Amino acid sequence: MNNISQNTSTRLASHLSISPSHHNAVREWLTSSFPLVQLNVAFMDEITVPKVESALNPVTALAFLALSTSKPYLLAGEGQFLKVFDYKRGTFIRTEQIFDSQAIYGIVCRSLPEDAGHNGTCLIWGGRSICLISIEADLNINGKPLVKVHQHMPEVLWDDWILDACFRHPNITDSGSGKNTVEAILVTAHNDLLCLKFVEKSAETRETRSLYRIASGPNSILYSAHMLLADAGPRLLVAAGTVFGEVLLWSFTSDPSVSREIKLHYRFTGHEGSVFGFRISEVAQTGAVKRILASCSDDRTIKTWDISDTSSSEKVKPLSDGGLNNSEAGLLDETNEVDSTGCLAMIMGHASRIWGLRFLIQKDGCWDLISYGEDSTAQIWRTTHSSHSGKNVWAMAVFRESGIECIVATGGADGCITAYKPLLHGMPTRTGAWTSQYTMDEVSKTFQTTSSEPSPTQAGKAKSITETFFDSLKGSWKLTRNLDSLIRYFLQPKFIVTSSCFLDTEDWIILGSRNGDIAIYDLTHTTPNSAVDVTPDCFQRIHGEDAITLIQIVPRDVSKLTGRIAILTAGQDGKWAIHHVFHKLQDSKLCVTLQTIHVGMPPFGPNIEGACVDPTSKDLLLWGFRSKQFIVWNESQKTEVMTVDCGGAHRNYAYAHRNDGSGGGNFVYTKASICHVLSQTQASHQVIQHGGHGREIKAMALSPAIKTGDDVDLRFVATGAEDTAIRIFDLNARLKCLSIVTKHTTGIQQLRWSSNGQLLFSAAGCEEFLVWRLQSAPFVTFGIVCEAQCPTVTEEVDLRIMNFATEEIHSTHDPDDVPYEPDYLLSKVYSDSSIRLFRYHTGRESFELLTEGSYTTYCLTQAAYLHIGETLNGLCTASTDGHPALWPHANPLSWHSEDLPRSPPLHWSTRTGIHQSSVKALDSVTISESETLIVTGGDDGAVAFTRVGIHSPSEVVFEAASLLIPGAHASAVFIGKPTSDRQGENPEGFILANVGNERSGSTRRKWERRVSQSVGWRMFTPPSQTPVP
Amino acid sequence: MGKSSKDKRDAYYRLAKEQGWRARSAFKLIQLDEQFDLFSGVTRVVDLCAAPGSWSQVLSRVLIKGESFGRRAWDEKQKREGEALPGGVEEKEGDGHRDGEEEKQVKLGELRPRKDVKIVAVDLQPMASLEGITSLKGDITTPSTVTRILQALDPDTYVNDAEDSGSHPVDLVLSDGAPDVTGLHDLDIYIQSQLLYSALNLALRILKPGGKFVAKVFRGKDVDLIYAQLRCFFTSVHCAKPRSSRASSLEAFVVCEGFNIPKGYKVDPKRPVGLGAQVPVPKKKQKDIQSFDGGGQRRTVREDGVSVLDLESDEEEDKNRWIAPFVACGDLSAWDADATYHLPKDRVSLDPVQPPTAPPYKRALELRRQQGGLYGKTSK
Repeated sequence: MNNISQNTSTRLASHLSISPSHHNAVREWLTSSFPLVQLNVAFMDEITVPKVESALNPVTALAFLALSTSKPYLLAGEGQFLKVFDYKRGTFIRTEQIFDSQAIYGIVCRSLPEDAGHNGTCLIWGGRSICLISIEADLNINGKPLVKVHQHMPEVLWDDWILDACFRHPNITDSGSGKNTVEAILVTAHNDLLCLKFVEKSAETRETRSLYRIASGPNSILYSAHMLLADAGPRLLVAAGTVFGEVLLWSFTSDPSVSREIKLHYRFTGHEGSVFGFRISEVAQTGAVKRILASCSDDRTIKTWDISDTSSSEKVKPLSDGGLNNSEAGLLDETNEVDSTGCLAMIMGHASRIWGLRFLIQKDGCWDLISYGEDSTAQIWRTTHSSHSGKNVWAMAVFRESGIECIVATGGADGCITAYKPLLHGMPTRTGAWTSQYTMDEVSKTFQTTSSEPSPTQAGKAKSITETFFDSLKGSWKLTRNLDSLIRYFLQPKFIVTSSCFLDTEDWIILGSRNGDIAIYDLTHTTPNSAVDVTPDCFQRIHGEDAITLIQIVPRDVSKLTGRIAILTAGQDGKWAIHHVFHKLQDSKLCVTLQTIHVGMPPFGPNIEGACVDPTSKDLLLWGFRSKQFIVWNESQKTEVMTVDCGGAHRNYAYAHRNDGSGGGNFVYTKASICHVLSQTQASHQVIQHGGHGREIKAMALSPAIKTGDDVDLRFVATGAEDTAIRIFDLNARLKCLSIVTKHTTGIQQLRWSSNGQLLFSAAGCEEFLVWRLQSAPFVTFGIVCEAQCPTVTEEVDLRIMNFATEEIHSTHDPDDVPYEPDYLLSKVYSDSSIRLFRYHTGRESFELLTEGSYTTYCLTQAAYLHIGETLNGLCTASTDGHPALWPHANPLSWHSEDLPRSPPLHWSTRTGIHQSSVKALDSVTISESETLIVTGGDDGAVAFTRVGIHSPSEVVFEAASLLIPGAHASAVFIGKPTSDRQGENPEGFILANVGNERSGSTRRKWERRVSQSVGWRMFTPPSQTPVP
Repeated sequence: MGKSSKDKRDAYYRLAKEQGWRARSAFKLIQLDEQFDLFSGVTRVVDLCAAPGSWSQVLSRVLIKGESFGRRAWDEKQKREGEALPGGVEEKEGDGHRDGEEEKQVKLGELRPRKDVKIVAVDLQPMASLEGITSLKGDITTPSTVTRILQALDPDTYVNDAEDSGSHPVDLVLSDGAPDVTGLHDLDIYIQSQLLYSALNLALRILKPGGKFVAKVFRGKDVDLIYAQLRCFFTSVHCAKPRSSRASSLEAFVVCEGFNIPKGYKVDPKRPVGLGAQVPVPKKKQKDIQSFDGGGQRRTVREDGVSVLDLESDEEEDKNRWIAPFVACGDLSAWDADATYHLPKDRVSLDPVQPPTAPPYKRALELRRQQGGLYGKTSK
């Protein structure tokens, strides 16, 4: 249900690059007997694949590729695209489309000679698709990596899903002809082994590719499988996990001397749920256990199994009779008792399902194991790294940098890729890893100083000559200035100062109180050695009713963009905010005004203890505590920089940021009467690509172009997801996330922008409806604050606003009222079949309920305004019953007048049962002076066009006629977007881009991709028009 | 669907508790029956992936006890009221399991238990027993399950036939099975399609000619491949969406009627039907081809004035793809699974009839509880 708001439709199409070459792609024309006006529909033969400019997909595969130019490159599979990153520099290099529409689920890489060549070969798979590519890497003149991707074998489809793959050792496949032969083995979801052979064109041979089945393992449906070439030879070990939780270990040997042999070595039944991931370890040189198998499962456990002995086995029948069927035990054990035979160890650390695991290093018979899962963490035994949003880490890659050091990269459903070096077994604690701990003795030798600000509740340091103190004499607080020339300012009653700041340029003192108020004292006209009762300018409830813990001036070089004085505050409500502070003439008196322009909430708290701006990167850093951890958070990049298990907030501590852009810092704290110093030279993990929600995106809207001072117009994408957050992305900066705003408590249903791009409307369950205002702000490109919340009108706890339509109301405004902003007419449709029209008074920041109505008992799903010509004549809704309904308004002229009268209840006039079930998409386009066309898409896979005209202009009586195309898509149609084909007032035709097929996870690109998969419809009117050849 | 977007307790969830169903999915089968008259002439049914057993419960109450539900019950009630009772005794729909009422219904000839009803329910999970239903614990992908089903249907007359020459005694095969979804939609869709294929391969070996097959399907990429294969074995294939299935869910049901193995095709358990399997494509009816015009389009005007434009499917291009006609089931007067209903304030919330069967993480939950921690909470 990702509808793009109406006012952005045309721009969206241009973004997707639907080219005019479509004119030539029209196959056939037909004249219809459409009742009102002849309407032609053409089926478009070819569909141009729109170019995807930016995409942020779940990261579903990761692999390191070591080549001479970079050690290593990081390859990420995101949707059908392969992205190449330079790991060391943390930079994006290029993206390559691998599959037509299938997402990439696995990548294996090989480079020859090991780590030192210019060329790598990668086998990529996902679903039934397989692709073989070569990556050639070089450095350009500036020493920057240059990567070429060549597809040896473009996408091939096998009959079954591919679960794992590995390359054959070169010494087996190479017949002396050189490195141009690639042989790989793949395992499918039905436990079949496939062989892929590729021989590059050479002087003697022509290029050949082949893919064929070589063996069948025990017949079962698998959730997961893993393969390993054992004994550096012809034997392949296969670990397979069935949907019923069994673990099978079997081997396949194809040695010309031994002949083909399939053996089943182990069958473990210890898991209580499906097994999602496996790894087979390397052989240990010492210890009793030589080789282990690790598996992770639906039952939230990781189990390790002793598979040292792979010589004994059940002999299995050869391939010829259709696979081995000795597993035809068929009957499950009636008792279904879990058999833990062979299980070495069991660990439970994840909060939900575990998708996969990797062995890191093996030393002295000990293995370090890392696992990742649905709870969006990667865990090394009990060490947890959580750097993803939402749910699910889907992909992981491990690179062994040296004998005992590894780099672990993880990719999540949020599209984020991070990398870090874990602290492993047997590793000296002070080298290699990025974080170190020291005792006090070592500190004195290692560090010069670590700076620490005094706590702001005691004193706020501003100028060397000015110090402010707070005194609590006789129960009231006083403020004094300058020790040698005391001026005393009386505080407001009950104003308990919790934070302060001195603005030397303006001579202002800004104080924050325990109950969330801010007071600004103008010190300009004060004389020394006096007690003055200056009335401060007070601003209440800046951080709710919680104490303001921090007030800081935004450095001039950061706030210069806006040219205004900005302060930053943080409170015990867990939020931080940016405010503009300026003089304003009010009642012919100059007073100071504070305007909040941005409120953010970092993922820790509620106590935000400190903040600073890194002078190098200009990033805003916030720090505080989250349960037992100390967290340093980079708000500008939305990443966690430092995480320390210090025991919680109740201790002495100090944090000093390194201020060199590296993300490192020094943290000193006491724990159990011991002083600890933690020094980080860089962030705890490197963010290679920033992510998104990590949960299902339920609504999105593309903003209009927003003017900034610079030449470049800003364009935002707002998304709302199941995680109840709204994220604002910069469309022009590879979808960088600018803001995460959280105020909704339920999943977002719909988002729409105002036409000037300054307001964003959002609707969700529990009748939540919010208005957000965007404006220029430091640190975050654009600040966003919740300007108003629509009060609920019913007592129903579970009433969802399913959709809404917005329309500007222009009143005859006072020319002095600058800047002028229109009001908005908001028509909301609800899950209990009700409909309500509100007016949002922009100036007053308040809502007014104008009228309401009720449809049936069906859940309404869609709402759009109906314009006939220039006039707004009513509303069109659709619901789960498949009926579009038209709601004329009695007095359409009144919509544009100054004061909307409270109208009589709304009633629908026309209702047609077009779709069989829920209408998932609805949009309208004006096709002539007297007619509007409504396009609907349904859960039934049908697309319908409904023409709406007005019977008589004096009273609004709609007449409508519909054309239905059943089976336009194989499944639900989610977006039907008519986009203007030509410039001008009355376009003679338009292209309808339909989005059908499946609904998928958090892919922002989903509708983009599906435009290519869908059927395109082209409509022309009037019919006398000669069709484009 | 996450917790944050919608209360799980929709109209059907409440209704299921009020009417004593083990799960709300019972209404899906009732509504499919309303549309397709699935149970007419049916006495021998196999319910695959049956746990927790709400579909078996419907079978038990309709076929064994002879009760009626949904529109059928309404129609019969209307008829009955018109015929018999001038005084009129008010009855609640679908509330026939109270003793007094049952008696009355028998008197009126309402309960019509069928003779020789055989119902076999299969699942990997244990299932609480139901009257008249044989439940088997087994894996539907394993060929030997077929033998066990046949044995359970005819315990006295069954002869173990190693060659599978095929007694085909079943009128209706049902499968409401779904995987525990992972969140990677195409993986979920794939696993669901594998379950459907397993059910189909089983059905191919036990259905009698003219028999029916109903299975859950996730409508995603390549669903048209599945439809095309099903059409090879059944004279009529529909994609049906009951109103009790949420509009926001991918879920739908394939309803296949008129089982008919194409000539020359031999059902071979060693070569099951699956993705990419070759099955003979039935020839298109001549009449069908003619009704399309030269451009492959056909227009008709429905009674309500809506013009319908059918497009000739691109079978010339891809014989393996076909879009089954979509049918929404259940009356428009039925409850809407997505809607919010205003409930009386004094309504008492009932406990579920059947708690969920043992989930794979049950032990993990227990262990965590012992350690005194919360479990299963994931961050937003």
